[in-house]
Amino acid sequence: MMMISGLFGLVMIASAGCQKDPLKNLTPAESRIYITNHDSTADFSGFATFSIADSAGIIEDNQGSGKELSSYDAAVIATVTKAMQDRGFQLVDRGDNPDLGITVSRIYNNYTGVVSYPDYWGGYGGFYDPFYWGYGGYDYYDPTYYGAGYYDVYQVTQGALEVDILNLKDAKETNTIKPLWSGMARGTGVFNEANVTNQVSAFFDQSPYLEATR
Amino acid sequence: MNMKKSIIYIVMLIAGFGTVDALHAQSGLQMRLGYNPAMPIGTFKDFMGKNSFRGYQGEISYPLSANLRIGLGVSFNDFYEKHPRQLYDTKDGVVSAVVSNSIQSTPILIKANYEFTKAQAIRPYVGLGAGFNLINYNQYFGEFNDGKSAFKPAFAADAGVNIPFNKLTRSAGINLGANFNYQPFKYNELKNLNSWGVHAGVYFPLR
Repeated sequence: MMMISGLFGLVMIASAGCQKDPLKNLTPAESRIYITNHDSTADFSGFATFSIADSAGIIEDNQGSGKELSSYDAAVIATVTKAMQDRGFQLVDRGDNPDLGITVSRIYNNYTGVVSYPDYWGGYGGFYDPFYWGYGGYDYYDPTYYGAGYYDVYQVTQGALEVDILNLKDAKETNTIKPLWSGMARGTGVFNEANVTNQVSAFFDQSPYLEATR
Repeated sequence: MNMKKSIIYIVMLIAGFGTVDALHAQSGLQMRLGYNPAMPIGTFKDFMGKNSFRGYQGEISYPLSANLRIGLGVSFNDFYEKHPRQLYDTKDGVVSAVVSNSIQSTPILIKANYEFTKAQAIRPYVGLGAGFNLINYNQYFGEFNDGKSAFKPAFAADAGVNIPFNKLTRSAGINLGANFNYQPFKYNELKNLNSWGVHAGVYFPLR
């Protein structure tokens, strides 16, 4: 029996010492992932104008905890604004009936588990409620409408940057504000201001359909 | 624990067994230790493009007859591959990520080895093994992983040569060979962890 234990011990020593740790072999840039989802039935060429929220919503443990405008938030808002303009959308004031509403959120979930987009969405309306966009009394659309697979589920160990594009143009007709597109960045350094340009570029580079009719 | 420390410990243990070897030259119980890199094949190669150069094996065997030994073998292979950043489609979207695949395979097999001759300086043998495989699977999207551990059946076929050190005792020597590992494991796009391996090591009596 001792011999067998020794045999197992030898192989375990070898395995513990010589296993490549995937996390230690990642740079901070490699650790980050960029997830974009969209309503596949949406035709973005039918939208011309947009407005973007003037601060970032803060979501902690799936609960909203306020709005902030750090230099990081301002950089994200400015970079997303420029990216939308580069894709042919026109920036207008919130009160000028924009076709699209854009929100920026920082999400912090301080537990190891999973966060699904619908959970996050549940805390969302508290910050940019329909009144913000001038649609008081309307509901935000339940993202589960798109099916359970619409938003992927990932294990959470850090915060996430979330940018959402909402359909304001059709809100009156449907009596709801539907999400059309979301971009999420997660990983090491995701809240580092120096990474904002790369992160927003990744969102738009992998969303070629996000373009207005020019 | 780093690799250097592991190797030092293993060398010290082998040195200890070597002392046993000198005292019990005519023993029956035998240990084999070796290095065994593995190369994925078939559908496993589609998933894991890199070979495993982090592979080790150990085996304790007992003679049933002059040519036939049965025993217990444990081996380990660490497979790892990191893909450059690329886009992966999801149901309604896209994920941009550096994907790293990491799989550790630790089969524990009952083994039978048949040596064709006991008289020659180089002794060809063939072997078969059957048992279970402790599998640790992790697929990382960036730093976010999907992990699974499993305990599955495993089989192996082995062929090689034993080259005794000493003409008088012929109880210790060098082992060289190749092995085929049949390791079922179905998860996501994986169907198995089948691989070819080569191994080089030493064998010596225990008592």
